[in-house]
Amino acid sequence: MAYAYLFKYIIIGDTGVGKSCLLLQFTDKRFQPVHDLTIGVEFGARMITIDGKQIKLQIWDTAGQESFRSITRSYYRGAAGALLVYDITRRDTFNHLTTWLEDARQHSNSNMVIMLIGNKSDLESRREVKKEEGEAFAREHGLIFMETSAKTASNVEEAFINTAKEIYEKIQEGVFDINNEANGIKIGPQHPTTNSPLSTSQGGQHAGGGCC
Amino acid sequence: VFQVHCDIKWHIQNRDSSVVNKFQKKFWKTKQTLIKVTGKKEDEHVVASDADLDAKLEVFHSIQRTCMELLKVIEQYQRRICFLSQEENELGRFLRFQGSQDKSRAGKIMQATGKALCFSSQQRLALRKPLCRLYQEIETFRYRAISDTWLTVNRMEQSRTEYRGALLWMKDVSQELDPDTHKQMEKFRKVQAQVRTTKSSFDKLKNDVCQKVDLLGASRCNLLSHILTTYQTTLLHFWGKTSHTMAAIHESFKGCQHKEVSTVKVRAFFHEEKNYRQKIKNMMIKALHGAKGLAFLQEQRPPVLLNGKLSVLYFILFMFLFFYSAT
Repeated sequence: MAYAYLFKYIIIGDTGVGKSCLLLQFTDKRFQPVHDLTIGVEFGARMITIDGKQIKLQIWDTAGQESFRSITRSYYRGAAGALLVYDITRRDTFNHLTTWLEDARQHSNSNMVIMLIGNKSDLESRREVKKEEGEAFAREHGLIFMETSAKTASNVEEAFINTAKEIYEKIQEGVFDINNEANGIKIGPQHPTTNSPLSTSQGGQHAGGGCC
Repeated sequence: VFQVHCDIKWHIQNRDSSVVNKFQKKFWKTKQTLIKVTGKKEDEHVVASDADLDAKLEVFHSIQRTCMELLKVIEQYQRRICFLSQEENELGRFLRFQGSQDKSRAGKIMQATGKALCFSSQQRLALRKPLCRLYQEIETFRYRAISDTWLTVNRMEQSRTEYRGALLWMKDVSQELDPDTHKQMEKFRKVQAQVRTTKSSFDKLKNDVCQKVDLLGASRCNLLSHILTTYQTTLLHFWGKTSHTMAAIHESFKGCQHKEVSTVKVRAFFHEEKNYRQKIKNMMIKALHGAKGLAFLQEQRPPVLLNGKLSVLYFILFMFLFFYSAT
């Protein structure tokens, strides 16, 4: 499929917070209650439309287990957006956010848009982290915040799309240098890089898509 | 012909790639082994994720070490019990013999005490049986349970090296990874599969080790509490018996020697001894000056350490020690 832009996303957070489930819900609109442990990284891709433009999200779903930490660090490079996920029913996953954030800031480019996600909002009865706490953390660190449920699909779409919108705005503002691939943004293959992004909606032949 | 050609080509390629694959696996495993052997700093996150396992290994090594120490201590303890019993027996026999020479009341006391000591020395040996049993049980525990756990630990370490090697490999291929590049993804999938298999085998062995070490600790506690009960009973029995005998002797001679042999007397005895030594010293000095001194020395023969007197002293000291330790 033709796309005007490709954004590289990375999903990070403690093990078992539902990173892979969020991705599965977003790409396949499915929920799997039992998910295999992610080994290193898995990939997902989906097309979305912002401002009438096709944007391909290339999503890197990283392993949350500690033994993969050094490996997943190399995946931060060149990501335009990051979803930092915690589990609202497990306080410790919220407590580890600072470490994750430090890690992300240290190994990615400074313009990366980070979305804080409190997942499993369907498990209200087992909630350990208040929504206000998540909001406060996001405000304090300049992140966007949302509570989602990969199970009920609540806010999942929005989380991914809002991040993309934020990135798109940053491109419009000229914060991102779209010609530099290290920023995690690629321009659609049908256009020479010098083209204006405005003319992307109709594509010629292209070799987009094909992500695992 | 073309089909055959293609088949052969495919086969060779396949074989080549499997050889390469094998070689790569070996390479990363060896690399990890080298890191481990040379004590180079390992990935802190990987190390941290094994913290629970490493804590269990620490427990295992402590069990291993303390079992060895316990065996040594039991052996020594047993030997000392034998020595003590021998000495006790000899003292008993000595007292009996000396007692038979002494027709006074003290002689009787000495004889009775000597008898009690001989009895105690025999009873003391009863402690050896539960100790032997403890020794054997721990020995068996070492040969069976510890060595079995040790085998699992070794297997786990092998698998850990393989897993960490695969992680190194994955880290290496992750440096330049693009999901839209088929070739890179193919390579990544291969490494991912390797990490997955080694991880699952390592996780299983890790679990095995943790469970086995827990079990090992629990079963050793069980073993000790079981066998030490027998030891304790025997020890109490021994103490009970001997203290009973000693108390009986003490009872039967109550009053008679209390006046005769008091601590004052003992002190006086030592005092006398001290004085006597001093005297000898002085006399020796004098003797150096002339035969007069020598005559003096002959004249002033020290009060011979009478057999009886010495034995009574022995007796008092022994009784004193005994009651002191019994209370």
